[in-house]
Amino acid sequence: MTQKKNQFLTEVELEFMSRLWDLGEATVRDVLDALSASRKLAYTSAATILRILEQKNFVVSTRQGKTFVYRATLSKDAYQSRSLRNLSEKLFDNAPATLVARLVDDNHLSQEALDEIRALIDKRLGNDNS
Amino acid sequence: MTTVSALFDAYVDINLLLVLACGLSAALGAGLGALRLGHLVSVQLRLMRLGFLAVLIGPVVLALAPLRGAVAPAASVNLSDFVVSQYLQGRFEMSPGALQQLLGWRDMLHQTLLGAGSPAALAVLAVLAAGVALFAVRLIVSIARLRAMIGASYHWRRFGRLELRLSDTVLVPFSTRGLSRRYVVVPSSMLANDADLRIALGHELQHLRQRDVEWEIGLEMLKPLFFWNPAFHLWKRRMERLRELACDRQVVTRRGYAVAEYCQCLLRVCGSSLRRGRLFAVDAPVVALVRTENRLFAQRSAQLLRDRMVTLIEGRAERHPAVLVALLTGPLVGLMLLAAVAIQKPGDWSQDRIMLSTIINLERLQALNRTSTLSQPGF
Repeated sequence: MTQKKNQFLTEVELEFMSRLWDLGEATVRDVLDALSASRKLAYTSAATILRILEQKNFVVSTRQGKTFVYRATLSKDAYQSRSLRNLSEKLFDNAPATLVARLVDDNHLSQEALDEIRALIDKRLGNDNS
Repeated sequence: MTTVSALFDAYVDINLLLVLACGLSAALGAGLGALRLGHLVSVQLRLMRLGFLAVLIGPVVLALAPLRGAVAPAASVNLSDFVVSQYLQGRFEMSPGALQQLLGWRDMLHQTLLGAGSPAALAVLAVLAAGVALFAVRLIVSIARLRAMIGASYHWRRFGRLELRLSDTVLVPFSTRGLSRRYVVVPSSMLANDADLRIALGHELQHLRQRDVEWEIGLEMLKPLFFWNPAFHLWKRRMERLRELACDRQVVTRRGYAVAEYCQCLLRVCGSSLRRGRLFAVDAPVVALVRTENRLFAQRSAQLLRDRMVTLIEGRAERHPAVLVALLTGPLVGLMLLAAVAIQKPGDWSQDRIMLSTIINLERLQALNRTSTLSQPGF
C-alpha cells in the first residue's frame, strides 16, 4: 500500500487514533462502538478512515478470518511530541520556552497543575545534572 | 503566409462571433425569464455549448477549407455587402469615405498587425503575446498544483476509470480528469458526515455525467487565447452558472434528496471552507461543489450560491428538455454559421461596392477640382 507523507491527523482521525490507543488492538466495529454516541458514522466510513490511517502509516492491520484488526504503530506520547514540535515551530517561532511561557501564563492553570509542571522540570533538570 | 493570414482572420471572426453569441445567449436567457421559462437550465446549457462549438468551428473551417472561396460568393451573404447596399439605398447617412474606412477595418487590422510592423503594432502584439504567455503559464502551474494535490490524496475506491480520492488539504469536493482517468476528490473530514458525503459524491458524479469537467478543461485551455475578450469570460461564467443549476436539479430529482438538506450541505461546505481561512480558489480545471473565491470575486460566488438555492427551492422541473434542444439546435447552429459566413471578407467586388468606390473617387475628384479652381488666378 502506498505510504503518504502527511504526518498529522485530521480531527476525526485523531478521534479514531485516541480510541485505538485506548483499546490497543481493535476491529472497525470495536472502534465504532468506542466512539461517543453522538458520532453517527457509517461502518464503511469508519473502515475508510482506518484505511487512510494505514496509508498514513499510523496503524497496521492484520487479517483475522474475515475482519481486519488494526493496531497503532505510533504511540500516543510520540504523536503528542510530534504535534508539540510542530506547534512550537509554526506558532512559537521554534522557541519551546515561549510555548511553555504561554502555557504557564494561562490563567486557567490551577496551582496543582503548576506544581506538577515544576516537579517535572525539576526532575528533568536533576536527571540532566546527574 | 496565406495560412497565417487565414488563421488570423478566423481568430478575428471567432472573437466577433463570441460577442454576438454572448449577446444572443443573454437575450435568450432574458426571453425565457420573461416567458417564465427560466427554469429550463439544461436546455440553455446544451444550446450554449452547441453555439460555442459552432462559433469555434465555423470560422476555422471557412478559413482552412476550400469552401472559403466558394461559400461566400455563392451564398451571397455578406454583412459588409449588405451594409453597402443599405447605404446606397439611402437607409442611413454617412460620409462615403468614413463608411469605406469602417468597412475596411479588418484589412487595416490585418495590415497593421501582420504587415511591416509599426511600433504601435509591435506593442499590441507584444501585449497580446505576454497575455497569452501569462495565462498559459498560470494554467500550467494550476495543473501542476492539481496533480500534486491529487498525488497527495488517498485512494478510496475505483470504478472502471473513475477514481474516488480523499484529501486532508482540499476543503471543497471537486471532480477533474487526466488523460484516461476521472477523479472525484473529497475532503477526508467529510467522512464524518455521511449525509453530506452522499450529496457531494452525487453532485460530482452528475458533473461527470454531464461532461462538465471536459468542458471546464476545454474552456480553461482556450482562456489564454481569448483572455482579452470580455465576451469569452462572460460566456464562461454563464456556462458555469447554468451547469451548477442543471446539476443541482438533476441530483435532487434523481436521488430524491430533500431540497433543505441539499441546500444545508452546500452552506456547510461553503462555511467550513471559509472558516478554515484557506480559500480553495478554483483556478485549476476542476468542477467544484461550491465556489469560494477570494475577496475580489466573493460577491460573485455568494450570488451564484444564492441563485442555486433559490432555483432549487422554486423547484420547477424541466419538461422534455431533449425535444426542446433538438428543436432549437438547427436554427441556433444555422444562425451562428450564417453569421460566420456573413462576417467574412467579401470575395469579389460587387456592383454596390464598385458604386461606393466610384462615389468616393468622384468626391475626391470634386475636392481636388475645388482646390485647383481656388488656387488658379481668376480671369
